Amino acid sequence: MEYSADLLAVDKPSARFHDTLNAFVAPVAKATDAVASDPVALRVAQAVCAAFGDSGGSNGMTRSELAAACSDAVPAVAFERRFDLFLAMGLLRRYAEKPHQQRYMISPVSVTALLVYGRLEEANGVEEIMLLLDRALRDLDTGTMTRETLIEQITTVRRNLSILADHLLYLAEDRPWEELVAEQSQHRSAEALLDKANSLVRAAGERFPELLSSGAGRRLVDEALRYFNAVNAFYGRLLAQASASRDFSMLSPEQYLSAASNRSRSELAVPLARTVFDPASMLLSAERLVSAVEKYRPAPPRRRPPRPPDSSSDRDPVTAAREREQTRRVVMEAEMELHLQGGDEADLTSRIRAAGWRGAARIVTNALLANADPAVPVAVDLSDALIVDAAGPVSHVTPMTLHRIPAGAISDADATFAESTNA
Amino acid sequence: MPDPLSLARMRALRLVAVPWAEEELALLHETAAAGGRRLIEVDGDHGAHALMLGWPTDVEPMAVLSVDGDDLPGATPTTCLVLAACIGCCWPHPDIPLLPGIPVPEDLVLDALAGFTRPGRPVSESLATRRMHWKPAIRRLRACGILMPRRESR
Repeated sequence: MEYSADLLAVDKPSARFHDTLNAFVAPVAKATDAVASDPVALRVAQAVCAAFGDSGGSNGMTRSELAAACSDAVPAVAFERRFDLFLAMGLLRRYAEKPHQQRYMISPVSVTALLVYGRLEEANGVEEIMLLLDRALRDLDTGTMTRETLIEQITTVRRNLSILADHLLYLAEDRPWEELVAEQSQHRSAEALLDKANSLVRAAGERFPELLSSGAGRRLVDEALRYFNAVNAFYGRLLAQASASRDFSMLSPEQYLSAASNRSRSELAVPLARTVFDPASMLLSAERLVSAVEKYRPAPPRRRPPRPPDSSSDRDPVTAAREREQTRRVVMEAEMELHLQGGDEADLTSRIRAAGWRGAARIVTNALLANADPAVPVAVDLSDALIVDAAGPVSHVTPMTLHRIPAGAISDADATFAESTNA
Repeated sequence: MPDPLSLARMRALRLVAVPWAEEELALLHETAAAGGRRLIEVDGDHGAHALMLGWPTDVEPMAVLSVDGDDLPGATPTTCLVLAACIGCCWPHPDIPLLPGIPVPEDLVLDALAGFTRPGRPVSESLATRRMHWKPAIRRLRACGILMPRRESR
């Protein structure tokens, strides 16, 4: 930033702080311009303090060392302009009172003053009252405070609180909103201050019971309560104006983040309780619906296509079936001939008994099929007897005899039936 | 003179009763037109006529709102599928108006979606998982006023 004395004219927070410093120095000021109007003056002092804190030693620092250490924070010309004044007023002092001494030390009093200025910028004196209350409580606790001192401190705190409460009420009732915004961060400790005042009065009552009857304690609590109410009135007007103008800059981003993290949903909903919102809506076109359905519709069930006709052969399937049937019949006749061994009759019982269950079933089944097929010239006789041979391969056998049927004995009707079934 | 409050009321309630007074109805039409919308008369609950806000026939909402079809918040393929199933279940016949439709159990809608896989999900995803994920889309459509839960009579 360029060094410029006009900064105060455009930088409203700095201008406000200048007013605060004027009021702060007024009790001991000799002239109305006792406080520098240039905000850089304070920054030079802070830079000098930082330089001693970071780089100084018990031997102090030279002017050139100081200038170099401050060069990053403030312009060199500003440092040179303030250096002699700091030396003349005691912020800086020579390491030794000799004309040729070029090393300087910083005054601890000035360091404390810088801390006070910092608190002034942030808390506008409320923190001082808090400190006063803390100190009084501590001294009461340790028993180092006399009754007179306590009355004096209680009176001081009460008077300061009265002045601050009046100031806040004046702001809340009569001043432009912008002035309230400028001071909004300086009275956030009202509740804590009220608690401390209560604690002090309780502790004072225990230590000096007669103080309660004198009314000093009650007046302090009354004044703290008045300050508390003034703070509420102050923030009430701030919030009312901020709500009406929907000014979301009243809180810092960190405060919004903290609220989002730590507050319940119902608490967060309170500021918007009287806000009207459009209900949730969704814009969906018919084309979009159709597109989604077509894209994600279920896949049709898979069906195995019919087996294509065997194009590798030109054979007629009916003829092929007839040929397969004829082959089966030839095999059957050959098996029956095998049983008959050229004769007209054969007893199959012993063969069945020796063939085991699987073989017996095949022999019996084939013989019965041959018997049922008119085209095969054999017949089967089944006995009523039952041969039981528990130790044999087939334990139960009905005797079976195979006969050859003479060729002329097959009736025409049977032959016709056989033809039709073969087809 | 257009009445912004009545337009805001229609946006909030979605369906408003048709006013008896003709001048009041005319004012509603004028207000809707001033807002670039038009009134659509639909059958509300129990056969009563109602009005809802629609878009003029020569207006493309997507173009008016300067949004692309792919950027519509909430209009995911899943939501589209669920809405399609709801229309299929609640619209008994194309010859009658879509609104108000007939009430159907939620399970019927979920059954209609049984054959659909969720967009971006494998076919092997179980039916139970799919049903579990169709339900939020039903809730979204309900929150947007596209579906309406049937009021149980006490």
